[in-house]
Amino acid sequence: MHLLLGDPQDPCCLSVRDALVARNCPSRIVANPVVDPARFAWHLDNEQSVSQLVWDDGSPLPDDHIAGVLVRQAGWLDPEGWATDDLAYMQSEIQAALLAWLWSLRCPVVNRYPPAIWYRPRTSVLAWQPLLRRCGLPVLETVITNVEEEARAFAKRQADDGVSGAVYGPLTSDVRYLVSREEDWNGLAALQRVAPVCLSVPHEEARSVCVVGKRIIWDGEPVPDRISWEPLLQRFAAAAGLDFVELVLAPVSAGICVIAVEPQPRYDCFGYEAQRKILDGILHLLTAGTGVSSKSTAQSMQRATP
Amino acid sequence: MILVCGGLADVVTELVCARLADCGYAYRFLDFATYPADFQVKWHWRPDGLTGYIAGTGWKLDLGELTGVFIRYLGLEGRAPLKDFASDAVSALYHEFDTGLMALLEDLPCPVINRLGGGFSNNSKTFQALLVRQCGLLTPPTLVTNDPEEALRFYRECQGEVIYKSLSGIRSIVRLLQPDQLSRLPLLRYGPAQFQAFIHGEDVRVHTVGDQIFATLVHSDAVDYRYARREGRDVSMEPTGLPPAVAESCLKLARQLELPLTGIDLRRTPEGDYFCFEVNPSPGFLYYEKHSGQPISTAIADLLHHGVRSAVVEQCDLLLDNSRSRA
Repeated sequence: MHLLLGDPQDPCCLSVRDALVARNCPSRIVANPVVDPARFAWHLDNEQSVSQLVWDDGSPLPDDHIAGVLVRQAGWLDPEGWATDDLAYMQSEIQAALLAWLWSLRCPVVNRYPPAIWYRPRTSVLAWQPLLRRCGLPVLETVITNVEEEARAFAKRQADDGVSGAVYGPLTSDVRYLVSREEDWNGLAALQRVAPVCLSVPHEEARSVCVVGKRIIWDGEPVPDRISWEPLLQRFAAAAGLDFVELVLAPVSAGICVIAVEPQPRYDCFGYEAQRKILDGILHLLTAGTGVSSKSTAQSMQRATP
Repeated sequence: MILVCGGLADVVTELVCARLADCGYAYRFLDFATYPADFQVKWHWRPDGLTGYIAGTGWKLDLGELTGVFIRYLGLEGRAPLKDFASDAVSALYHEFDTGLMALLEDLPCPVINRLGGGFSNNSKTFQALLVRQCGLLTPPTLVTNDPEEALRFYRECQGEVIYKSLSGIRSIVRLLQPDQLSRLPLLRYGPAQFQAFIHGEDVRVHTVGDQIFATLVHSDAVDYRYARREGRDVSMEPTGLPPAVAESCLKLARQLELPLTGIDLRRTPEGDYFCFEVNPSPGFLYYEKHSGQPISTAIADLLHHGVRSAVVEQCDLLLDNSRSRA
């Protein structure tokens, strides 16, 4: 039995389930295996780690009967009927149980997230920069400052390279603003009196690429120098401990660089051909167990992560 | 130069600042009560690495000068009120400030006590239990379940000596499961809980600071000694030693989590086995230092200053010798 943890309407879960069914591999999409109607029990000590799920129809699923797990969403809980504080507590408990349980399984798990990613999947690309650099991937030049002159100096250096303005974007959201006119700079200076702002160099049209196991899947045309990029992307995914990860690349004045990392890839944003290849890659990982997450070793339990 | 980030209202941060001053180690203080208003920052991530500075009143610290950073994050209650902002916006702004600071700290080449990344394991005590096993320490027989019948079976297998506590990083008081609480087990259907066999023995709190170990024996008859006084029970502490294999396992755990400072909760059984309950990435070591006299803050100051062992080792050996003589 393959478990697909996620929303029953998630296009990726649905595609994987259909593909598994076509291969005569039983599978089940489950939003949350550790709450009602499922019954979950996991015994852990120094001698053993044994867990079992019992579905609402009474059928049991011992952990050694789980052939593979695809993780798209981490333990959704219906908020109806919960007081706010209790809901937050229970969500934390569920996340804690699921994270650990996924690491206890001996089958392939895509992805077996390290804790830093499990608890911060939507972190800024700035947090990924040390790992990206270590893997030889070009990063987006960025400055955080609350000094007006420093912000303007950052943009001036870009202007010297023929690039107009800078991109302002809070670290805690995806919104981005081009700062180029004098009124933009005045507005930014007003903001800097309250908070340091994050500026990066403007980039051209972005393209996504997925690493699925050892496969590199470009959404549309690959970058011109794919031969040198692909080993670096594989190295990054392995170093992050992720079998399935999306990176967003874009050209800047200095060349192409990584502008975002999505440890929960946006499968439905990829084109048909790319989706088909991603699906093949996931199926290969779930059924052949060749990814980094198939190894539940001490070393892989705590990797360098954002 | 050392950078300390935190609030002076936090006694642990205050102690670190005092110890750095005692040791004569120069440091700058980034006070969260007035950050960012009273500071100027520029952190520049270039394709080849990070450069920049932090400036306060009368000083400017180049990031390249840093030998170590100590940080204790504060809740909103420790931060300066931001005028003209609604409370939601204030919370979001502080989240933004902290995110920038975290990104900086993650990327600095010097020791940082502690980077956030390694601390996330503490949000799942069961995940830590898996790590604990791999590092050679014992983990108590544990059941994680949302099944009332499984919980009851476990309770009976353990002859009724079972504790329950949170799975996550949310602080909870460890309590023995009492017979009159068994009627509440059906509530487990709403979500999982963690049960553990009660381990008899003495509590040993281990602080690792770089490659140094401070083991503190805790004398208390409370189930959770942190709350002993609340239950009208006493607590006393003294330095203790650890078998080399246990000490090495503690250091291995800390290294694996990439945490220069940890607080590891052990229990020593009458048979001499060591069970590990938790690795705390932001330990309140002041409590233990105050009760045992162990120079934990001095070791932290040394690590921040030059990242190596120093005379603090001699102080520890002396304390241990005294303790053994008393025993």
